[in-house]
Amino acid sequence: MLMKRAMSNGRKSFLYLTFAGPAMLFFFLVVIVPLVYGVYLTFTDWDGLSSNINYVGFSNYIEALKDKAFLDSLLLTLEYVFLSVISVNIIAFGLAYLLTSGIKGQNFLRAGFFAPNLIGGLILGYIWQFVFSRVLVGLYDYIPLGIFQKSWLSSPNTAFAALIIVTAWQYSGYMLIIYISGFVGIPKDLIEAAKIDGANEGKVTRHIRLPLMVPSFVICLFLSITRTFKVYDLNLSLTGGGPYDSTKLAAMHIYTKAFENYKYGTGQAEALILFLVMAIISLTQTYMGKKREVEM
Amino acid sequence: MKTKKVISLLLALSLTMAAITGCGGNAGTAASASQEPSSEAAADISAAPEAERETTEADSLIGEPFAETVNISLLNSKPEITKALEAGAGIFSEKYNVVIEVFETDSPGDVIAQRYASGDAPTIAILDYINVVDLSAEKILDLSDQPWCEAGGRDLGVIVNDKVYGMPLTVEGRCLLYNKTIIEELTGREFSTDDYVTLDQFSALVDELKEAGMEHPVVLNSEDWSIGQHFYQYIYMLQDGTAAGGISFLNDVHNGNTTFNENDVFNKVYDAMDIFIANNINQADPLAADYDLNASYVAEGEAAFWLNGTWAWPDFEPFIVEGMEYGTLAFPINGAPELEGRLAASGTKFISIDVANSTKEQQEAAKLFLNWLVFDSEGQNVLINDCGIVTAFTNIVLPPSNPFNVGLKEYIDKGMTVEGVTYMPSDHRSSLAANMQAYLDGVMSRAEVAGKLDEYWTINSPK
Repeated sequence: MLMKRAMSNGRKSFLYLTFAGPAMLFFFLVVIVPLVYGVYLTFTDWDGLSSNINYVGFSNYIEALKDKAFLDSLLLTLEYVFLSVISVNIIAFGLAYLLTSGIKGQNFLRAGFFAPNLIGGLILGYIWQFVFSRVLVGLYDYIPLGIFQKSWLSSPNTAFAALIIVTAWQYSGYMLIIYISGFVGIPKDLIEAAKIDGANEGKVTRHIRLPLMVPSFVICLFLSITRTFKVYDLNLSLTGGGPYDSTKLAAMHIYTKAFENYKYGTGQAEALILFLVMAIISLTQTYMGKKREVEM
Repeated sequence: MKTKKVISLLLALSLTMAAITGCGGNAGTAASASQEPSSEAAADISAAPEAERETTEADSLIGEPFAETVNISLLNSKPEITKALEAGAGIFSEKYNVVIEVFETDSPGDVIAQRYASGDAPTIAILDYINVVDLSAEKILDLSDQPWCEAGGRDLGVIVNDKVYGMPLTVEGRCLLYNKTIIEELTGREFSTDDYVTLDQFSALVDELKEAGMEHPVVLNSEDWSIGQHFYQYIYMLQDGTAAGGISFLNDVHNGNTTFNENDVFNKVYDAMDIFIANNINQADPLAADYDLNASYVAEGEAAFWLNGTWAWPDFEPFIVEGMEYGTLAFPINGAPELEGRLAASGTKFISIDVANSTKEQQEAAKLFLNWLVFDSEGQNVLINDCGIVTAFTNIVLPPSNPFNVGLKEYIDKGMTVEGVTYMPSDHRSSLAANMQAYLDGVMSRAEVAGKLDEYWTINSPK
């Protein structure tokens, strides 16, 4: 006779703590505590060094909102996020489609496309800086095209394009993996049934694959939006905010404000504003996506 | 299957080992590193008691080795000397049982603020003047009682409220570095810095070099600390050659009594800059200039002049050609006879000792290291020969170690220098460098740059 003993609440709590406890603790210490401390700092005039900390009410927030350079960098970041997210996801989706269609060596290709994501943003930036400044310019001697004449990193528009290209190169592989798992999770019999009913590839993709892939879209969009909003390492190593501060994205501006201009309170307030903008966009996107999820 | 289990167990084990070595690696190597010096020091003391115990005057000034190993950290904001410092720290640690971890940055202001914010400040920090001033209130030691203060430390160090907070590390010159041999080859006559003190004379020489076949005789950097910080300082330094003159000009701008555009010196300095830009070897793409390539151009004779400073020797040295001579030339300026031919030489990097995040022992060890650098012959060797600096300390008699320093010392000994700039606020570079880079690229006009400078100095005042 099978005897099932209901788990006591105590035992349940113990199990939860053991499995989720360490992660929760680290999350609390590394994310929540600094966030709360940061919010506290936004109401002070701390310069990052002295032990004198005075309350200044909301003046840091007002200063942050009046800071034209910050608003410009925020706008630039929004542009960058928009273009990067679209590029990353289109490339990743397209590649995922190809790499689940059963071509030869697709496992090797999947690993290959994922590899750039393994290189940290800093090193990636230095590698591509070399490519844009030296390699492409070196090509000019053989292929005299206008785009090879000067380093891409020397003028604002091409430097911005460079940032987007490298971001797409870095993250496409990661999103690719998620899209592949989405594709693979679509039941084959649905597709076969549709084909028997006479649907062509395009209709199959539009009416079967895309709706069933909505969870993957939600995840990929969320990840790419949040990551590109916070970008700093790539910004630093690829363009350094240049040429002449024209590609200074929000995180870099905040860093300068807090640590180089010694205005920690204002910098933290700007960081919170960035966080709010990012949270609103990504949560809205997630909510809208969840509503469209198709239950099978 | 058994093989699968064995393989997965091995994999899991190797991953765990990697994780442990990765995390504990630093602690491990530091521990093993500190084991060696202490055993060696013990061996030294017992093996050669007479030689060690002979207290010379220098030894008594420096201090005694530590019984237990002390670990301290050193933040170096002069990347050219990191290797030399590490080597010197190695020699020092063997003798005195202090292990120094050296790490570098080229942006000391924000890195030091970051470190203090995270409670992890380095024991010793090599910083810019303004950084030491900013920290002096609560974060660093008052070093007025140290033996090197009398030997020049007080004259050129960072003084706040009459106390010495920063030990002067270097005296450096901001100037044009030149390749003497190639100039003499192309002009067919001897080159003397006395003949080229005005902009007109310099410009004529540049034209001569171009006619002789050197397409672009001048080399300009693109880095923000070079073109975007050091260059501005010429405007301030050459007002009347003194710090007071520079400060008074900036105060006038702050109070709205004058503007940069109206300033005679500003325009003269930019006239010179225009000549440099017109003859820049990186003309095609000025902001893509590579520092090492720039060094090689002048070292190998492809160009003749590099607007930089005497600190550049360690980066310059790998490219020098046997038999070529190099030197330093003062910034050329028209219509200022009392300032012509004067090199911009000043104390640059300064060393401070942390008091907020370090133990008493660590502070003593740090002080010991500084004393060792100034008073011990091996320490002096590290400073003058390995780091390649011109020192502020009068007790050090070693001759300058490289051609740039020789040139600098000549100007100093002749009394032909202008006072340096120590009064810029810490956000000067991050606020203004971009404008200079835009000017270099031809995207901003002189009037616009002047406007931005006015804007900045109306909000800020010289410190």
